[in-house]
Amino acid sequence: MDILILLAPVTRGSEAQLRDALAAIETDHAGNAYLRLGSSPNTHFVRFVLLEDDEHGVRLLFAANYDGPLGAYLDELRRAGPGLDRIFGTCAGYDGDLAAFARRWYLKPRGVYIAFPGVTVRDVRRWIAVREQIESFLDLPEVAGYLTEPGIGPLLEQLVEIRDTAPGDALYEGLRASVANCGGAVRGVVLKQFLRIAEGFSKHGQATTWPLVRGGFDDGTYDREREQAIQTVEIGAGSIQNQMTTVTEIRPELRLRLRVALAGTTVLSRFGWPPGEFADVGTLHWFAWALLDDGKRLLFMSTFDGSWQNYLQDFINKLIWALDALYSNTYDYPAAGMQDIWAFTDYILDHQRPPAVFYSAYPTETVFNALRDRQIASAVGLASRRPQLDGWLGAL
Amino acid sequence: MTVLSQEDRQEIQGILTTGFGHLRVAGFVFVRFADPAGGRAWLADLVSQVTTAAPWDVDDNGDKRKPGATLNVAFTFPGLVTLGLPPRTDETFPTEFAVGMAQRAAVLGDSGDSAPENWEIGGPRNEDLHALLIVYALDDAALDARLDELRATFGAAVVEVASERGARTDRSREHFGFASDGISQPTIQGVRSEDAEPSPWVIRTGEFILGHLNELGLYPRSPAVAVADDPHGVLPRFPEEALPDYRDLGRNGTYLVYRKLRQDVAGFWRFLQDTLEARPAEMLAIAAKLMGRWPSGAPLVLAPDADDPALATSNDFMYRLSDEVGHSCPVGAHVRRANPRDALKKIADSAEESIRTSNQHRLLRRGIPYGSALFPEERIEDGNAPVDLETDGAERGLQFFAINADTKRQFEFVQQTWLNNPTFAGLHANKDPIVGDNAGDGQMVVQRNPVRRHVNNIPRFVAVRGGAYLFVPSMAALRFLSRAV
Repeated sequence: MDILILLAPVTRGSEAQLRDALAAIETDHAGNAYLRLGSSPNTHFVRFVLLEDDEHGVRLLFAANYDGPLGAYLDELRRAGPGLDRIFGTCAGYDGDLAAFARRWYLKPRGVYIAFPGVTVRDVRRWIAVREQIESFLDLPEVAGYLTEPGIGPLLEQLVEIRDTAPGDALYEGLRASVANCGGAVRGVVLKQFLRIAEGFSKHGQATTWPLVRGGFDDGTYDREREQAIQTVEIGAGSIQNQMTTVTEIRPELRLRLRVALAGTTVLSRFGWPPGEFADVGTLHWFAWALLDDGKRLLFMSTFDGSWQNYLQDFINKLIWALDALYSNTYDYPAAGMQDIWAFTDYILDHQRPPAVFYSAYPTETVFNALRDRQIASAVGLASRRPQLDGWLGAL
Repeated sequence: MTVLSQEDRQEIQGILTTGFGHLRVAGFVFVRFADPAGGRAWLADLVSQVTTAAPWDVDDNGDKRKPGATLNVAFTFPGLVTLGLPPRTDETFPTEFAVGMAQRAAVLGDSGDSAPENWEIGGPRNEDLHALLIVYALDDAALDARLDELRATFGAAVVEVASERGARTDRSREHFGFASDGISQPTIQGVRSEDAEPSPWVIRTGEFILGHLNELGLYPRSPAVAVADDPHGVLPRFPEEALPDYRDLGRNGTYLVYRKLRQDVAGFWRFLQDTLEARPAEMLAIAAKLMGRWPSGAPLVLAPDADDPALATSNDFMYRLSDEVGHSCPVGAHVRRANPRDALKKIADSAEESIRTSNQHRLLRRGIPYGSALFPEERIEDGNAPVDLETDGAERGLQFFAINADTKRQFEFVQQTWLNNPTFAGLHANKDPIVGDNAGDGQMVVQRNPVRRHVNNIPRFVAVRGGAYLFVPSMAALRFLSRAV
């Protein structure tokens, strides 16, 4: 999975047209007249966000997580986007050449974490399909009845004994254990150093144990409607995934420190934990940071599982060091960092930018689900080269 | 050591610290204020009758003199605004309380039958709710007498909008036939002196009462009033001398969640009998798997194979060591979702971390059943299940009340992230089998050796008929609210 982030100014007067187009995409990811994300086989996630500030007016943020080379992916977007020109055409510097447009407005992702780096959309969908077919098979009345009595217990016992005598196993297990140990060692060393740095960054205030007065008595940035909108994003049978996009202002004197923290995050994300288990959170599909406007602003984007409230809970219980180390280089960040939960929650609410479009290729699959589905699919897929499989079936 | 002081206890409404277990019936009267001044005058007269958490007197024999009837009062956000809040104080209440339960349907999973449009109370098609009177009494006659007394005080200023009742059953069972959920009630730190220190079972005071430290080691966010708006000094200061320019409207108050939950009792047992074609003993076993406890209340972790009434009130159990994969109590069982204890994975590395997280999402429940029992309780004892149940068309269910200091982090979180989450603990398309918003297509994995059993086509057994988010003020806050602004 790679990440493409574009940030382009919207030309004056085109904003309404762009909003309409994005609303149409969000209403129907598969069949709209602009960009049919559902028919782009290499797109994991996409978001469009409209950012607005006094200096730049309205800008379009486009972020995609995709498989394969970028050039091929841009071609795929064009094929999936009969109205693509009407979207990017609202932005400055677009003349129909998507590659040139992407080069011009490209933002480099930094401090990137990807739960399953080498895994494609096709892989995830295949895992899901295999699990679903096995589930359906097990639910057939005849099969379900057989499973209870006489049961497949004896068969499984036999199978286990065969596998125990397979010569390659011990070697494989040994290799896996030493790789795991190696990962653990890297995490141990790097995390320790990073935590020391992160703590140094963020320890310039005590958590307030008393509640801040919010709302009418604060500086007036509070917006109850926005909070309600962010908190009531529907999470459930249709989609269990959610996203966060924040834009914050970097303190100029702390730019260097921010870069150190970004580099540390990159190393830890890549080598610190097994796939899908960043900081033992296990609900993050990916995240990335980017610097905007010559390092004046900091962009954060993530796709995660579950509700906003749940995500903050993960932050608070797990990711304190990671976010403090980065966000503490921005304005308005609470002096005590995330420890100061009320202030941190307010900070996130104030800087969150809800997306106009949020798409996922597998919206009901959590990271935890994907780990399990991979386990299920890979166990039955061991001997699945076609001739081998045919040979095995033929021998019955 | 933290024990609630006498002063605090006299400020706290009684329903926060006790469920009044000795009182068998309850009445819930929802009212609207026709005019602010009249509402305040009515409230001013009512305050002295409100039951507090002050310890009950002891008679000559050393027995507690328990009250024969109690009164507690709570307000919706529109109710507080109608009574009149000082400028900008309204904005210091949390968003979920301000917008109200109906506006949080997406978070709570209140769709289909349970959508607020179909509610009897608190929905967009129902009359506005401003306040709720909660009355417990010894029996129906005493309750009616007390309610009549209260209604006589309403005058023109207070308009009754809806009225509900509840009654405890002989053996404290809910309508499906299971021991009521009071067994796993969290203990509030500091109400009894023996619960002075937090533990896996004793939850810090601030999870349930504003103005006290919570499980995060912080004070819950609390509504505030500028000093100038409290000229008579009715309200307390914020703790630890914080925010000297404000007074704490929330201290010793809390938030109350109300849900009228209709239970389809015949539908529940018929589903097991007809759809799953289960024999009586098996019906009972599957029902227990869905619930996570046997009808007596015995937890499946401790009694995996058969009900054991000796374990009926047992709450001292964990999942991770003895039942990590769910062979005894399924991972998606109702009680394991509602309070995962040490079993949370992916978010917690260790049992301790899981317990810490679980304890940040506890609810103090004050529910009481309504409607008559569909079947006698004997029919669900000694391994029997109620077979061939026919619906009688009568309404029955639970008047669900939950107390928490942070509705977003407690009630809403439990509802959204645990009960209704189709991917809870790595499951797929499974929701809570008992209270989840299933609609005939619900699934539940019952883990089993060697291969799981799938319970499919689960309908909705529990439907929301109404609901509200309420604020339960302290006595000081009640006096403050009853004054002209």
